[in-house]
Amino acid sequence: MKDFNILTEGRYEPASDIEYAVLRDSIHDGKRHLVYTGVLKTNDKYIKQQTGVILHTIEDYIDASANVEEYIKQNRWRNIIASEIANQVNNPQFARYNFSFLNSVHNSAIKTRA
Amino acid sequence: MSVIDRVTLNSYDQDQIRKDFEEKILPNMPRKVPLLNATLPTNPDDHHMLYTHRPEFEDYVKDTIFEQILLDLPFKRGRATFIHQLPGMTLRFHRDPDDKYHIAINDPPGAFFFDMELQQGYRVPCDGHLYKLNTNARYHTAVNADCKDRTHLVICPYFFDDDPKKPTTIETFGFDHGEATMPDVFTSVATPNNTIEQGFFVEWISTVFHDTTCKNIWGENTSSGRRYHVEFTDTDRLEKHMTSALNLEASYAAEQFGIKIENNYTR
Repeated sequence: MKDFNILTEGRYEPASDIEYAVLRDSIHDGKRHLVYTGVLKTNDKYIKQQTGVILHTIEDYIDASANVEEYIKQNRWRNIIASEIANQVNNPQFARYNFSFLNSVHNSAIKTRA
Repeated sequence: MSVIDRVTLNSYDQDQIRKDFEEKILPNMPRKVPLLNATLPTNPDDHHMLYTHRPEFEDYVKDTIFEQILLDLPFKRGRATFIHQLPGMTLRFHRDPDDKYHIAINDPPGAFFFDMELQQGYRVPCDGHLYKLNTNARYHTAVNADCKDRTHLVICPYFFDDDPKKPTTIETFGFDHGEATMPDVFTSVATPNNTIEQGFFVEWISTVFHDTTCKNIWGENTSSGRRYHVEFTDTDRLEKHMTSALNLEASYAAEQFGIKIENNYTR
């Protein structure tokens, strides 16, 4: 997958730096609860500063006997995750876990007077 | 998608709203942080809960038009707060775990509610009507750039809709930033706990709030983190929230910075 990244003028391909992980694989009442995520691991300083941590997660309840790796492959979960991550890289203001927001937000209502 | 919606058919008397505020509420308003509570839980020991049923009223609210407004609400009452923004006061961008209902007591032309995603400011009309603001898990702020005060009564609904006498189960979800590798993220103004809650966990807290079998939530700050105690009448629903993709994803994102997560269901 090649996504043109406006921040780096196309020098950077997020799909090559995504680390995937199964966050949950648990069987309950004959159904397997599967939660699968991909997180962008990049050393690109600019992208890191602009976007914070970028990840995307997919979950599903599937047949308990299903082969997890096959299921993920067949349903192209990696492609979907890579595509969503590329969207966040290209629109860093709305990345789901954004550094600049972490820096600026505050939860306890009124704090400052201009 | 609309950011602000009028929810009442008939308006309350705006003159009475202003008069009752100035005569009965304003004298009780703290000067340093001008926020004043309006509703209370029946049991005073539950006062620390950030989400609980608050059917009672503070004494200064009794026999005012605000008591009537709160009694007329078509939903159970959670927190209700008078927010009195002096000229020049602003809130930081933040996300709430629920939508808020506002009645504007004063809303001068230079004051506005601002939605970050749409990059758009909105007035809450001062017309005696109640307005619903789309603040649930959505970055927003309120700015008073006017020379006069911006004063609103802000109301949170209480969504619990099960038998209050039913047995409950309490579980804990927590985070600890004692060994986190994110010092640049913590500024002098934003405290780490609030920053981490805002950055990672507001969406999850929102889904917990909106579950009708969630009776209470309360937070407890530890030496380097925060614990949330969540009380449910339905244990299956509780387990679903503790193992939801939203919770696991937020936890995983926080762990990327060395923040430790406490969750008995996943460890």
